[in-house]
Parts: sequence; C-alpha cells; structure tokens
Amino acid sequence: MAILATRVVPEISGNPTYKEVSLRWIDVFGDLRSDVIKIDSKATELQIEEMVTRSVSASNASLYTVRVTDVYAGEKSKDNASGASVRSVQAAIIMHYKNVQRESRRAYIPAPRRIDFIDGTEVPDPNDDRVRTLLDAWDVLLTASYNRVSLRFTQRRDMGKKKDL
Amino acid sequence: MNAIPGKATTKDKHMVTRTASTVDGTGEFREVSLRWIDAVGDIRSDATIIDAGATDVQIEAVAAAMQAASNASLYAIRVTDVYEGAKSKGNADSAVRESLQDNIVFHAKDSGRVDRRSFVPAPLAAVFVADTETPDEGELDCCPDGCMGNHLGWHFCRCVAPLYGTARNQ
Repeated sequence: MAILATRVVPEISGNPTYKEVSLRWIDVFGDLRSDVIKIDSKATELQIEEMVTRSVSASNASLYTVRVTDVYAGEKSKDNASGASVRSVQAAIIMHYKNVQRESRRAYIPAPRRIDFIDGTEVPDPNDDRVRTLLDAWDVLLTASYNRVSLRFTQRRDMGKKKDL
Repeated sequence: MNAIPGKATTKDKHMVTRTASTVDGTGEFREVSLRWIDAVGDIRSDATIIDAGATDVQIEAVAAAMQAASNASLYAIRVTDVYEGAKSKGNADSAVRESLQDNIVFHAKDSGRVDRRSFVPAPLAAVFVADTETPDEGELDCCPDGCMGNHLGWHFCRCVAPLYGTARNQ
C-alpha cells in the first residue's frame, strides 16, 4: 500500500490508449439503440466521420448522437492507493458549480487527503493550496458561465451501526 | 409500419435524417470521466460535462490536481466529444427493416483474436443481395483503416425478443 497514492493513468496528451465511438439511433417507432465500438487510438476525426456517414447511408434509423471517447488507461491496482485516513472512494469532497440558469455541475475528489480539511473538522479548506489549485483548474474546464457554489465532504451512503455477532 | 422479413426486393426510398452534428473536433460539449481505485480495491467513476473548447492541457491540469488531493489511485480517464442533435422518430424512415431490432453485424477480430463488432441498425433493403437476407458486401464499406483488425464479414441479425438472448435469430 502506497504512502501517497500513485497516479497510473497516462498524461492527457492527445495520444490515448484507445478510442471508442458510440452511435445513438432512433427508429420510426421511437425505439432507441446505442452501440459502442472500440477503435484504433490513431483513428482520425475524418475517418470516424466517414464511418458515421456510411452507417447513416445504410440505415432507416436516424442518428442523433455520436460520442467519440479518448481513453487513457493505466494499471488498476489497490496497491497504488494510500491507506491514510479517509481512504474509501465512497467518501468524497463535492465541488458544486452553478450558472445563471441555475444549472448545476459537480466534480468530486474521492478519498480526499485529510490535510485538505480545516483542522479538527470535516469541512474542506478552500484556502488550502491543493484545493485552490484544483478549483482554479476546474474553473477553466467548466467555462466562466459556471460559478463556484460550495465545497462539501460527504459519503456516498450512510452506514448504520454494526452489530458484531 | 411492421417490418416484412425477407421481402427486400426493391430499393428503399431513403428519407432518413441524421441530426448528429459532423465529427470534426467541435462537438456540442465534452465530458471527462475519472476512474479511481482505493486501498481496499473499491472503484469509483465520476463524469462531468465540460466546455466544448476545453483542451487536453487543461484537462491534464485537473487530473494532476485531483490526484494530488486524493488518497485513491487514478487509473483511467475518459475524454468524450459529444456530437448531438434532435432525437425524433420523425427523422427515421418507414421501410422494410425499419426497426432497430433488425441490424447487420460487422464482425472482426484483432491480432490478439479479440472480437470487435459494429452494427448497421434498421438496414436499408439496398444493402442486401436481392431477395435474400444476406448483406451485400458490394454495398457495404468497412470502417476506416486502422479501425479494425481482421475482417470476418457481415451477417444479418433480427432480435425476435430482445429481452431473451435464447430467442434471438442470428
């Protein structure tokens, strides 16, 4: 078990481990269908668009969504995680954003490090350097139309008291 | 509007409308999904919609900052470009094999013998050999170079009762 958790996912650099394409269809009855296919990591947008065009030209259904995913994947091992306090991924800090239409966006820090909390509490510290860096980075991804609302520490599910037998 | 199996003798009048926008790197939005594993082996993933113009460098900055703040190990990141349009049955064709339960399966295997399958749902009569349910390879093009490994061919498949795998007619 690592003292500090180890990131094993490759850098986000435009060179994914592989790609996936998902096509979503609707037919004349209103039935829906989606299929996902794993494709070569080097497939270009032009090649994908050509595949999509050919699929549409051979079908009676209407294609309403295409999802192209770059997947960056590393080794999935619990040995790369830290056993420090707040070690479960069921516990997380929720970063909550809203825009002027009151639409929400949320991002999550699972198994947050204890040093990112205000001392002696379970309240995330917005003045902590790591938390500030994180909020600044998410601000850029979510665009200026989304504003910070709150930080909140929570667990995905409440657990009752255990009765040992 | 029910499909008429085995009656693909005429070319369909192809009136279908694609509403998904062109795959050109400028989707309606992007999504980033982060996948984590903790010290006991539990896994978790969260997806967040992000700006369509978000760059790989900006996403990498978030990933690095997230790992620095977590006791879990970040083992996968999925960055998705979403190209979407209106979802309406009015944009689909009424024709032979109009149901999404009817589909042509394109089967391939990579060099490691791992299967890949892609599908043409509700296929046009025009892509079949006349008077058969055999896909016409002359009418069907394979996916782009590099997309697939060994091409093993096409077959037509109809899901008679899609909830029950044993009832499928392939």
